[in-house]
Formats: sequence, C-alpha cells, structure tokens
Amino acid sequence: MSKGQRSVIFIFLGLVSVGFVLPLLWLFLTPFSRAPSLGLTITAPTLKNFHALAQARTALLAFKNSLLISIGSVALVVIFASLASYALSRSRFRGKQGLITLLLIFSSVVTGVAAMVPIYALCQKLRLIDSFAGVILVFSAGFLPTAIFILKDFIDRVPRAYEEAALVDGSRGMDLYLRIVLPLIGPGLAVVAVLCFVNIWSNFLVPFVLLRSNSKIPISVAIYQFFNEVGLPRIGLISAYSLLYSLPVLAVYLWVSRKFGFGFFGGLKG
Amino acid sequence: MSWIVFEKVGKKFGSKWTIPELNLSIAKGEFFTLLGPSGCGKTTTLRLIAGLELADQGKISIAGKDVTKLDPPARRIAMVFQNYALYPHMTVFENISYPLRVRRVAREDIGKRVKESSGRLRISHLLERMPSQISGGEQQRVAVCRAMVQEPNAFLFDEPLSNLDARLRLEARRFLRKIQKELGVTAVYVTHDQAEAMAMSDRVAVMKQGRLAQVGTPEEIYHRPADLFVAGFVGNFPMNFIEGEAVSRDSKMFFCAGDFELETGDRPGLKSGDKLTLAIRPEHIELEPGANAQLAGLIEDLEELGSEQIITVSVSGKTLLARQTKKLELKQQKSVGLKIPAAMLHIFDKEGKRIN
Amino acid sequence: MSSEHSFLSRKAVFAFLAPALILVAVFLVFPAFWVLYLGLTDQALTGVKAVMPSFVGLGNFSRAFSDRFFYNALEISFIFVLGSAWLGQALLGLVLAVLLYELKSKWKAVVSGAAVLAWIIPEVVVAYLWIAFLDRDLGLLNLMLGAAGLRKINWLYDHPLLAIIVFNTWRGTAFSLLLFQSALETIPPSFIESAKVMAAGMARRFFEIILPQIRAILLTDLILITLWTFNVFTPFLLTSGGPSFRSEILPIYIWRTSFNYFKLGYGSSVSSVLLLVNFVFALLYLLGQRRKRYV
Repeated sequence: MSKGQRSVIFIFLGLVSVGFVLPLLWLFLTPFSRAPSLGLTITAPTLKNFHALAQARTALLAFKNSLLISIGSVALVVIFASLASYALSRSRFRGKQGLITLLLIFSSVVTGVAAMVPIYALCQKLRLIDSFAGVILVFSAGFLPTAIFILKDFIDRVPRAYEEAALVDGSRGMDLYLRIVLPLIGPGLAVVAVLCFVNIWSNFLVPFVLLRSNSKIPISVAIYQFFNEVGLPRIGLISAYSLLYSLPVLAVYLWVSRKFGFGFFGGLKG
Repeated sequence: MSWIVFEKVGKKFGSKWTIPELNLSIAKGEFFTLLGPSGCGKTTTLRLIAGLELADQGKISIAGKDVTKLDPPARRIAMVFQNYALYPHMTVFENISYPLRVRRVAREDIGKRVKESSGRLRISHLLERMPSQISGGEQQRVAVCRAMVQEPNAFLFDEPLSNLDARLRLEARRFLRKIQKELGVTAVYVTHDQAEAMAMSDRVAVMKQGRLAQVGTPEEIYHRPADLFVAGFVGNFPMNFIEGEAVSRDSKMFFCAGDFELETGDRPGLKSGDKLTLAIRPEHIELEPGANAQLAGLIEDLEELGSEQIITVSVSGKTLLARQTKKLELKQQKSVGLKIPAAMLHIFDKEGKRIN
Repeated sequence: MSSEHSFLSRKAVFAFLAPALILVAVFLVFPAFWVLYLGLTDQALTGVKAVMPSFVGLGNFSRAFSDRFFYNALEISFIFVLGSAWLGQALLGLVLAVLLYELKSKWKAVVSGAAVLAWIIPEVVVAYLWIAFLDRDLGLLNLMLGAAGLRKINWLYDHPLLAIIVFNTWRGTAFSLLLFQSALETIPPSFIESAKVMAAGMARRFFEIILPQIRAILLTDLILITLWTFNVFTPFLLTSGGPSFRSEILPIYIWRTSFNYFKLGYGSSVSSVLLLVNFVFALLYLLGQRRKRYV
C-alpha cells in the first residue's frame, strides 16, 4: 500500500469518526452547560440541570416506572425461560429444535408497529390497556424466544452427571431444576437478564402505545413528552435526563463486550 | 554471486528489537535454510525478504537491487505459506495462474506456463479441481506450482511441510529439493526441524533470539558447531554434555569432571583451569571390549533398535548415551570399555563458544 | 453420553414449558394470526366500532391498495431501506471493516467505538441528539456549514427523507461493521499476505479474495438489516412522517391510521402486509443459515 493510499484512507476514516462523534457531543456537553440549548454550548460546568431534574416529579416517577417495567419483565423472562429451556434441554421429543426456530421466527417477525396493532386490540379486549401488567406481558412474550434460545444452549452444556447423581438420591423435576441446574447457569441467566433489561429499558413504542396515564409512563415516553410539551422544551432538564437514561445501557455494553465479545448482539438487537 | 544480502538489518516490534543486527549473504541458486526454535526470528527474517515486514534499519538487496523500502510486488519473490493459502473459491488452475493474471500476462502465455509447471510437478490432472477436492500433498504442490510460474528472483518457504504427515514429508522434501536444483532458483527455507534443514540445504543459518548462531553447510554445522546451542540443536540424537575444566598434565591437555577424564588433543586456545563444557555425539562413542579403551563404564540400559543399539553407560559418575551399529554382545550391568577419539570431542568455553 | 433417565416426567415437561409457551402464544403467536382477521373488520379504537365492529371482507385491503398514502409509504420505505440499510449501513460497515482490517491501526477502537455508541444509546435520546444536531438556527451541522460560508439548511423540513436516511445509517452502521469485522477475522492472514506478495493491489484483494470469502455473511447482514429497517419506528420521533408525509415510512403510516385516526381494522390490513414481508425475510435468513451448515 503506497503512502498516498494510506493517507487517503486515514483522512476518510478520520472524517467518518468525526461524523459519528459530532451528534454525540450534545449528549455529553449540554447536561453540564449553564445555557443549555439545541446548539452546542460549552460553558463552565454546572450541575444545575441535574438539580432541576431531581425536582421534576414526572421524571422521577418515570424513572420508577422504567425500573418497575424492566425488572418485572426481566423477572418473568428469566423464570419462564429457564423453566422452558430446562424442559427443552432435558427432554427428548422430536421437533425440539423446530419449536425453538419457530419461536425465534415469531419474535423477529412480530415486531414494531405492525405487531402493536393487533397487540393493542388484544390488550383492549383483556383490559390490559394502561396497565403495567400489559406492558410487562407484551415485553416478556417478545423476549422469551431469544432467552430460551440462549439458556437452552447453556443448559445443554451442563453435564447430566450432576442430575443423575441427584436422581439416585431421590430428587425429581422441580428439585433438579431449582437446586442443581439453576445455580450452575448463573452466567447464562445474567446474560439474559442484562440483555432483556437493556432492550426494554430503551424501548419507546410499546409503552407509547399501551400506556395512557402520565403516572405510568417510563423514561422513554417521558422524554418524548418533555420534548413535545406546550411551550419551550426544558433543554437542560431533558439533556440531563437523557444522559442518565443512557448510562445503564453504556455500562452494560462495556460489561458484556468485555466478557463475551460481540457475538451476542447479532440476533438480539432486532 | 550474492543474490540476497542483509546488511546490518534490524527489526523491532514495539520497543523490543526482535532482530538486533543481521548480516546475511545468500548466493544465487542456493538452497538456504533458516533454522531455529520458535521465536528465534527466522520467520521474521523471511518476511523481511518478502517485504511483508519492513526493516527498521539496515539494507536489504535482492538481485543487486536495494529493496529495503520496497513493497512485496516490486521485489519479485514468490512465497509458499505454511497453510498454502490456496483460495478455496478458485480452481487449481485459477490459483496457479493468479499471480500471472494480476501482472496481466497474456492469456496464451499463462496457459503455457501453467501447463509446463504443473506438468513438472505432476499435477496437470488436477487443474480443474477445487482446493478442497485435492489431498494435502497435492495442495502443497499446487502452492509450489503457483510460486514456480512467477519465475521469481527467489522462492521463500515458510515451514511448507509441517502440515504433512511424516511419510509425505520425506517424499515432499526430496521433491522440493529436486525441483529447486532443476530450476536453479534461489530458495530461502524456514523450518524448526533440523533433520529437514540438514537434508535439503546447501547452507544452513542457525538462529537464536534474533541472532545468527552459525552459518555453514550442513556438514560444518554438524561436525563443527560454533557454540553449545548449535551443538545441542542439530542432530537426531541428544548430545552428551559434560561440564568440567581443563587440566594440564605431562604436557598434555585433559578435560576433567570429577573422576571423568579425557585427553583433549591439541587445542591451542586451552589453558589449564579454564571452565569448559564437553560435548560428544552418541555415535562417536565407541564401545570397546578390548584393551584399547580409554574409559571403563557400566551399561545401565540397552535399547535394541534392530539397525543399531542405543546404550546408556555410566562412566566415572557421568551418564552417557551411545549409539552402536556394530553388533556387540552387550548385556545390562556389564562393564564395557569406551573409546572416544579426541577429534570427535567438541569443547566449548564458559561462554559456550567453540574451542578448536 | 446421554443417559436413559428422563429427568422430567411428561407432566413436568409440559408444566415447565407451559408458562413460557402460553405467554408467547397469547402475546406473540395469536396477534400474528389475529391481525389477518382484524384486517377483515372495521374495528376502531373508539366509538361504536370499537365495541361492535363488523366484518368488511377484503374492503380494507382493497382500500389500502388504492390508497395513494399507502403507496407513498411503500415507496418511501423502499427508498429508506435502500438508502439507509443497503447503501448506508451495509456499504459503510463493509468499507470501514475492510479499511480497518487492511490498516491494522489503533484507530480501529475510535471508529468502532463511536459507531457503537450511536447504536446502543436508547432511541429516544438518539432522536433528540439529531433534532439538536439538525436544528436550523442552532444545530451543530448548520453552524459548521455557516462557518464554511455555506447557507444554513432546514434539514428536517426541507429534506426529511434524506435526514432520516442519514440518521438511520448513523444509527445502525455499528452492527454491520462489527459483523463484517468478525467475518474478516476468519480469513487466514496468509490469504491476504500471499495476495500482497503476488502484486494484487487493495481493490483486487477486496474483490477477488476477501469478498468471495465473506459472501455468506454479507447476505445474512443484508437480510437482517433489511428486516429491521423496514420496521424501525425511530424516524417518527424526528419527523413524525412529515412534513406532508414526505418521510412517512410504512411503520409511521400504520401508526397514523391505527392510532392517530383510530382505524384499527384498516391499520391491521396494512400491518398484515408488513408482517408478511417480515415473514419472508425471516425465512430467507433461515434458509441462508441452513445452507451454511452444508458448506
């Protein structure tokens, strides 16, 4: 590769990097700015925007709601998926793999607004509109196929010898699951929990469609409302909120990529 | 004629000088091997010739031209990699002709050259196959063929036989050597297998930690190793090493290690009291049942290989390994006499350098 | 070796599977089929038709296929997918992956790091980052244009489709970049080095050596990001599909008719179409994966 070629490539990569970074700057500068606006304002740093955030009741409430919804869904997913994965891993019926594939197909096909139309109608019939239960159930159903896919793999790797030994001691089904296998797939459960949490934490569409009351909306919808409310949007508050909102996701990504490399994100970010 | 020359060539990775200062001269048409354990810098040296790595200091010339700063294509060398690097999506013909197509050689010429080279290597019947459809040995010959058609300044081989099983390896060794001699193209060969290096090369460069330990013909390396490392590295059987010192007695020089004592013969550099390491090749220890013996030993162990016997003898507190092809009536725990001609002794000073 | 013992009785297997399967059946499988039925009714969000919808047969579907807004959304979606998924994310991801691979420099971390940040930050935040970035008076982009002596442009108003295409490219390139990077890692370095020694330049190396090796991954990538880009809703936060429906991709059209105009039945018919498209892509993806196993 000639010197000239190398320089051109470096310039191109430099431009691309700048292109990716520029829109991100606002997120890291504005929350600390004394005169926050849509433009880039660089001032002596201040925490007043975060103070304003701490005073905003809606924001705090939305944070609680996000936690509730995310953790509730994660709990449901982890429990249901590990049970199902255990059954799938340790049973012998034909079409096991087919079932999982089918589930994965459904979860990748039934996404987005197109899916929300019948799901909304369904929730209406089940009186789940504007309820945490509705949102949690919908999220969980969407993530279960992926969770089962991941966990079944983990459980497959657990040697059956442990369970066989326990069988001899008289344990059965639920016992084996709770006391032998579950403790051994801790890392798998952690991965599922974390990925599920991050997906749901960041999701906008499902709560936007299924929740009505301001007292129930999570952070994603709250930010949307802050931005579209009557009068001038409170940029300082919104930017501080956005930054804090993004931090858990950033932290999780760092953790996952350090432990597992990129592979996991492949099928999951859909 | 010097065909490939390294003058004070240095290469560093990070802050470490993997190759501190290398001086080499490879003659035209020579089969030159870089031999050494992993990490000794032999592959780096090969890549420096190829241009896949650029020297941080010094000068490299090929065919009289200064190529130090040049990219690989300008150096006109052909390289055969350890895993052959045959492109799986191209037929054997397309693989072989690739370098010619890149250099825009005329189609009829390509056809002619591929036909000729593949014929010589006896792979003409494989030209339309895919690399996955031919055996390991055949893949190796395709890789060599691809190098041949380029009519390069030199062939560079990076451990090309290590992926073959033992029997194929012997065949391939002879084959490569024959082809190289027929074509008369300079070959630089990298291997960690000393038997391979000895069998194939005109000259061998033994490398250790980025430096040349010795450069010479296989005969020189084997019979006159320049230092302890070379002595120990080359040879199919482990050398016998004994540490001791020089003692002068009755105007003769002896090597002494405790009770073990041998006459060293005439070696001008030796002074009484020098710390020495003695090395003897197992085949140079003669087991002598008669009175001609210099030393007396006891047979500790005996392995009967059919073609020869491997005998472990304890002599004056030292344990030696000997190889014996003469059929002798030897039994374990039997005492036996040993004779080691002074000329077969390799003596190294306390730095490990040879004393002649 | 698998033992002959079954750890779970038949009953237990069913019991263990039931919670997950029921949940999935109700909230994932059922809606997928029910939407087809809903498309045949005049179900609405409010009013009489919310409680007592009637069957309208293929009325919704025929209305959709004669609705110019439907075709508008379809056309906009195609341009959007072509621009931001194929020419944007896939192409840019590929080019970046190859350049970083050939260059082997420390800059790898910077480029992929920035791209990844754009990808993982929650969608609401990212949308407002771009609203700020593209703002006509204060936005960073226009500020830079102004500094270069160029006219400031009202991006979201005058060039909405272009804006969301660039936005979505920025948003999603990291996935393709990382995917291709790992694909390139599987190529033995000797392939590239031998090509270099044989005088093949960068372009030749890319088209004749690298591309044939990563063809399968390239296809997989295209299928996945096409599927995702057809369904992405985030552009709604930037332009709401406007102005004058000039950036109304299919998801936004569906949202407008179903939740804004409350015509659930009609929205369902269009949803059915989109879900069917998704299904086709999902099948393609599976077929691609299965074929890989026999290579």
